[in-house]
Amino acid sequence: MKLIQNKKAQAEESINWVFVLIAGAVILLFFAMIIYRFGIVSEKQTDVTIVTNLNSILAGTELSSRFSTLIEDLPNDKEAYFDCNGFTIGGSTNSYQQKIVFAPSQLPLNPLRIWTLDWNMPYLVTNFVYLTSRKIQYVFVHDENSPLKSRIESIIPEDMNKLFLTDTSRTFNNCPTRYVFLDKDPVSLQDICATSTAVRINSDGTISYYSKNGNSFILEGQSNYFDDASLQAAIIADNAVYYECMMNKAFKRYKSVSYIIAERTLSLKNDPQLVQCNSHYNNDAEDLYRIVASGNFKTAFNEIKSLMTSIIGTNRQLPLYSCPTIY
Amino acid sequence: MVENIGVLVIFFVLIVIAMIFYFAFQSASIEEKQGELKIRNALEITSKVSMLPELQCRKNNVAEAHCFDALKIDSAKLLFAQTQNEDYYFQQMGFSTIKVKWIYPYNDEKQIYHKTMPEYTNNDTSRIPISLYDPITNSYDYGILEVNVYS
Repeated sequence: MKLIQNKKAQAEESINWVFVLIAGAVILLFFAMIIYRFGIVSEKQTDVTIVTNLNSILAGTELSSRFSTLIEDLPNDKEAYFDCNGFTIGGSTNSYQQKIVFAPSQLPLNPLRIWTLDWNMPYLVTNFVYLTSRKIQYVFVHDENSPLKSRIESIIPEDMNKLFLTDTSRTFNNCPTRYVFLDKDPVSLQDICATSTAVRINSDGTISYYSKNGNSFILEGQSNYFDDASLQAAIIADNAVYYECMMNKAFKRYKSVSYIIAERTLSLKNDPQLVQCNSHYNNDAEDLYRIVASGNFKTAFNEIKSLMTSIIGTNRQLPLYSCPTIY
Repeated sequence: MVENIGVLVIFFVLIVIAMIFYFAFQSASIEEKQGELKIRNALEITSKVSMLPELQCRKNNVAEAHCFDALKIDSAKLLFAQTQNEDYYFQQMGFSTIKVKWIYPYNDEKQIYHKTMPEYTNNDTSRIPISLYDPITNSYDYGILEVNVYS
């Protein structure tokens, strides 16, 4: 009887151990799953946090002109992908909404340089926001005494990873590199990077975008720039589609602000209290209304350029006759 | 055997209770954040509107802080209401009513933007003092920019 009881107790103890093993394994599995899930969520949360913070920074910088900041505490392995609609980091995407943002299509995030420049046409239209990283090298190829070289040197951030060269016979090891040819056709280069891009910028306001094919460059598209702000935009945005899409967005803003300036100028021109000023406003308001009705910035480029010159001239003259200025 | 099962049941019950407390705390902090965001949104819209070149006064293209050009206000109102611009200004000003109020030397007000949210539950008002410049008389009036945001 005692032997049977002993055997039963031994069997029960074995079953107990098997039960403890299974329960332990289930509990371990449960916590392992929680840790695994937490890891995935935390990775996504990092991306979302960076995207949200970057969006807040962009929203803030958009309102302040000539602002510049360097962000150095972002993860080293992260990259952001930019196009005309917005940017993506990891799996998180954010729209620019109406912000005018210029960035390389693939941007290593750390360290991140963000700066703004006011877009004056000649009155303030909006602020352009630019993003780049020291990991991207900008190589400016120019002739001796190039006027564009000194103009670009004075407007781009000092800490940008840049090189000004007249001779391109060396090997370029940085990846990616952005080549900017000033009033020069792109030449074949010893460049190890497949994602390098190039742009030719001319003093007459035209720009040509190139993509890499082996050691040479093939033409992708052509466009125009108006001033220092759009010149910088042409350097930073690395493809014609992105640049033109953003410039068309900016042109929409230009049309809205121009409408207000045209209405204001017409009110001043027709005001009975300013009879002595009426003739000094010329036809600038009427010309602005014509621009407001035009298509895109490329088709209206020459007209805008000459209207800008005319408005600047009128605006300088108006105070001499004690008349309110246009802008 | 029965004791082991008992221990396990208590263990899982404790885990479930801890999770319930955690999620309740999280949802309370989310609601608190939502409230903060609503107030911040009203202030952001006020700041954006005060910096719009469509309204701002500028002398030789230099902006004057918190100053609206009286000659721009009526045309800005028309511009904000135009169908082709609706998207842009909605993204800037959202569901809100924006008024410019003259306080001195006379009282007057102009509503420059109005978009109400259908069935809104909350509205936050933000006001900032502004000056209103009249380029014809070259004089400044005092006023208030009032932004009422619906959510």
